[in-house]
Amino acid sequence: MLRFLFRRSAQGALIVWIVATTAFVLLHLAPGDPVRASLDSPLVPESVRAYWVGRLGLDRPLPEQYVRYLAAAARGDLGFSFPHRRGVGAVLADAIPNTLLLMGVALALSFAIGIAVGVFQARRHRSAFDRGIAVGSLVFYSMPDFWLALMMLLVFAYALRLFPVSGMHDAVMYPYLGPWARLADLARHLVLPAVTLTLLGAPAVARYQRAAMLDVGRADFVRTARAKGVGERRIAHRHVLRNALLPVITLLGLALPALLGGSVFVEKIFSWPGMGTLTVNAIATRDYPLLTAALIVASVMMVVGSLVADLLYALADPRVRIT
Amino acid sequence: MRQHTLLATLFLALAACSRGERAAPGGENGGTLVVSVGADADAIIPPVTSNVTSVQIGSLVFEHLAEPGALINAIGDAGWKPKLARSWSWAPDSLSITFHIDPRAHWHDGRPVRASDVRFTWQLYIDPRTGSDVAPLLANIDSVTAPDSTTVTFWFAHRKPDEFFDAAFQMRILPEHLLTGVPRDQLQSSEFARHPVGSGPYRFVRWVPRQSIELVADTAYHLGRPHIDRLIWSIAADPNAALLRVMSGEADFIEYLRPSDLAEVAKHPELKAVRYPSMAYAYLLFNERDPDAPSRPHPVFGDRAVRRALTMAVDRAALVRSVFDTLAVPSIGPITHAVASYDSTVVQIPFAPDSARALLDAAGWRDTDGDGIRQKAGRPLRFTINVPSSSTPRMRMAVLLQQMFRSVGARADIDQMDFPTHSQRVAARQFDATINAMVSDGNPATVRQNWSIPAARAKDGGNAGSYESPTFDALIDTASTQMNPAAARAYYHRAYQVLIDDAPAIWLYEPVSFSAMHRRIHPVAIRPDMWWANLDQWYIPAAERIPRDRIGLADARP
Amino acid sequence: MLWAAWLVAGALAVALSGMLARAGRSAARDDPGWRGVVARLHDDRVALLAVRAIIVLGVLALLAPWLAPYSPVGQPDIVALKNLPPSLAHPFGTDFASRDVLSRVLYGARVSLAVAVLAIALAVTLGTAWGATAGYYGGRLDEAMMRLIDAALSVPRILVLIAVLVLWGGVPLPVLVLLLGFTGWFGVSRVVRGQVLALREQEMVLAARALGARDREIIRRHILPNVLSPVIVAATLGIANLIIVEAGLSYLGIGVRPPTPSWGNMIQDGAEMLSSAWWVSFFPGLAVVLTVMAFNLAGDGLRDAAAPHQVDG
Repeated sequence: MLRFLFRRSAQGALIVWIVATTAFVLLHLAPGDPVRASLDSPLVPESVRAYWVGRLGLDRPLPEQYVRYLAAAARGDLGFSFPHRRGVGAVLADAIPNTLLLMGVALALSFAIGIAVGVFQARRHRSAFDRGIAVGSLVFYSMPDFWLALMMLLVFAYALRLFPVSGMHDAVMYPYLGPWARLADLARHLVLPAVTLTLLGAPAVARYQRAAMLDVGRADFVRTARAKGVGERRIAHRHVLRNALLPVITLLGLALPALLGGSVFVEKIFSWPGMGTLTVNAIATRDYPLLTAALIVASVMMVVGSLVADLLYALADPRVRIT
Repeated sequence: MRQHTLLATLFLALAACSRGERAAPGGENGGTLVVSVGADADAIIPPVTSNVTSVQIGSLVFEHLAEPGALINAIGDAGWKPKLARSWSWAPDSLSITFHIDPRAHWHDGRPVRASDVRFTWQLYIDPRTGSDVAPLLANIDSVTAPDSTTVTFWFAHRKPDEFFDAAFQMRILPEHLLTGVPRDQLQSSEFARHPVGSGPYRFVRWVPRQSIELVADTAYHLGRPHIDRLIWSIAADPNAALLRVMSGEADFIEYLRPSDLAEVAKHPELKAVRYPSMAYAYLLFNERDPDAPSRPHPVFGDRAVRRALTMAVDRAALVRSVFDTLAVPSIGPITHAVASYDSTVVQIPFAPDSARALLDAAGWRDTDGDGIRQKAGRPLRFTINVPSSSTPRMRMAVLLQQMFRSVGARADIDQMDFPTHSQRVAARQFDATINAMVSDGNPATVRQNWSIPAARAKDGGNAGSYESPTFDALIDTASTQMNPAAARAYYHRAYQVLIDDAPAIWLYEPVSFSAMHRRIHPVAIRPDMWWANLDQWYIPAAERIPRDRIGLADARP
Repeated sequence: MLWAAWLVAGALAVALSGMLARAGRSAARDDPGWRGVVARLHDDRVALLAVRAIIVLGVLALLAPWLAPYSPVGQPDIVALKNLPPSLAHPFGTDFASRDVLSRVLYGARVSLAVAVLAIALAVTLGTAWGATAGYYGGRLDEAMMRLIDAALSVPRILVLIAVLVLWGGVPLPVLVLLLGFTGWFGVSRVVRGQVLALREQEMVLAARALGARDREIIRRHILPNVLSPVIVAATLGIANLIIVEAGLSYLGIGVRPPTPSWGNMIQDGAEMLSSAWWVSFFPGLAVVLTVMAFNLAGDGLRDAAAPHQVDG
């Protein structure tokens, strides 16, 4: 077990290093730099830009910048975000909890609903219910995410006024609310983006779960159980569900990075101040330190996600033993 | 009070304890204004930011020495109103101006504003370590002296009509006692830039990054308490969401409405739309030098006749009507209606596609192979138009222009890019043609930055199209030194006519600013360059208030 | 003239669909090869419908120049004819530049489909080559190649695309296709590698190796034909995904450049007028949803038909 963890950690570190290096090199080869992108007015004297370029070390040779970057990153210093005029760490620390909240809720809902619907569909395979859900989930599954988000915004926030348009808090009242009212305010703002993400995510989970249930249902050990006279309900729960959860667990591991990566379009359209919008803005403002850090965070989450998936897999499947 | 107070109870409680203050003339005190904006601030410290939200917040927290009236006048001090300076006097030789600081003026931490703060501010602005983009505009200020604590004198290097404008308008005064220990090159990332302390009508309260920024009225403001208690900037990352916040009642004001929003706002009886002139104009700029070999003229746009012909191919009235409905007028040159030197008598190049074709034929561009595109010496009449994808009007203009050029046998390809790339290519002069937008600062002499010979030849000069006309430069130089406004106007007229006849650009549109606000908001004197300039005089009548207006001046919960 | 073109298109679609049906009837369901897949696909009514929809779509895209009632870029009157609601003359209305939305949706199908198909062809080729090499040789090479894939998969693709398209600015269509292809093959390579890993130990491969066949020969003769079905499934689902990705990029204004119509940039054209001129982005949006649904259904059907009794996990 320890050896397994050690090996996986080493592999993970390697992956993160590859991502960091590639991002660093590619971004520094790209035209434009954060100083020029922020101080873009022709009125800014060249000497001012040169000063900032020097202060941020952008005029050094690439290998030197790279070594400095790695050394600083190893100390936990991810650099300075020029467009935000703050350290990258502080900017990330503001955004990460927001994304964690939104994506956590959305992932939990997607998996809970997706698994439940998938199981139900499989049990009533080829029934009208199964087909109805299949068509419905396929429609959402096939919708561009920005399109669904725009529609949700127009219908539920604008036309019906059931929920606030966007953001995380009521900009006016939030500072004056008590803790419970603050929680309620946050929840009201969370509904639309979380539901949008769930509508996009749950169909995928349901499709996976349904297919897995049907596959397992045809497997030999289930036939054997059935032949031995084990009740259908017991088969469904003890044999099928447990085995059919395995592929879904893999899916969960793949989905974990989104916890910190956020969703570019949904965050943008609902103005959720998370990592997705932060990263896209970092691209627009040529904020390379922030962008590199965001990509590193994404790859760390990916590594952790696949590790978690493997561990859960072992937990659910007695045949797998981690060595 | 119990912790989990319901929203409604809270409103009632706040309403009960809001003080009954004397209504100032022209308005009543109280209320909350929520402004919906599309971008977070960066550093709220005027010399080092050009971020629009930072500028807005900065100009309510910090003050100029004086403010211009509705028409931005850069010549002399006609129409200017006292702000931090109670009064001012010109030296007989016009080489210095002495300002008298309002003795009641104070910083939000309670300390009085002193003349030395003004001198400190000037030193800070021109310090290269500060890196202010305003510094070059202060070049004519030779020195600043503070003979006593409320008197400050600006000394100028040359006698110019815009010296008052430079001293009073280019700088917002900063507190010396809070900034003296901050290294100049770290102003941008300093604690002060995130918790600014100024002397303006509103005090900074809080900033939740990427969500909101809050200001509260300074009831002891030296020019009288601002009417509206509380100002909140509500930040939305998406333009649709920013607008929907106003439509759904979550916010009260949005500065910029798109033409397609007109009908939508009309459906909301609780909203009103307010129009006022703007200082912006947009144009299709031709690069007169070959972007690949700047020593050579551009193979297409180097020829004045071709530029004029392409201008004649464009139906600007239809373009503007199609993209903006009534929210813009065709632009007539590098000036807008709100600038004092605006001159509608300058003769324009007409829309005349047949003349355009004849002119191109005469210039040697003919469609010899019948593919609809003209050629000359084997080179097709083909070029690329750069547009920033952040601007829907400019993207649409490009698509419409493309078709108009096609009808006279020219092929235009559209290259859309994000805003920083677009600016960078303009600055590096890597373009054939580009749709640029410019915001005039009210000083007509500033056209030099974009159209003069020195600006064309300097590295990183603002004349990106390399238009060069000694006649134009001479006329502008003469105009900008005239102390008599009528004489200045006459010279500017001649300069504009030379520029427009040479067709260095196709003047496209001058948008009308069109803001939407909640009906209960009563704006006062919206200025074309900054709608927020007189925000301290806006008011919300007590009878029309809604629950969020009753927060008053109360402090937030911890 | 227009009606004749539509008639021809209809006939063509029916004929192609009929060919598919005949192919299905003539083959045996238990044929392990490609014909069996087609036959089994025939039992799946939904999947068959999806395949037919894709055929119709392909015909429409192919014949767009004859089927479209107007030019996709023509601007007859930018003031009087802009943003017209759907009518007999313009069944899908007109957009901000007075262009006919129906004609643009038809031409847009060409662009959106061509971009997706070409990009997926590139992705599948790269992914198959990489995955087959890693899976066949195994060992350290496999380990190294798969770690690179892990690293590539650990960065969200949409971010990479946005970054490259924004930072390098205004890329032409062929470059966009290359970019979509080069960022889309990592998943395929994993699938192929898994399949090859399993095949490597199968009798026919072992036999071939024992007979002295060269690696290249074995991969070409025995391995690749057997990974074809999962690759085709991945390609079909990948097209669905690519259409959505292209739409998203164009929504951000960094995808297909105007005036070339793609469904994505058409949605973008109308996105800010949803409440006043919904038709400008509704019809291209509908085209995206229906097309993506068709490809997803077809992909699911193909997967079931290709591996009727496969057990995952």
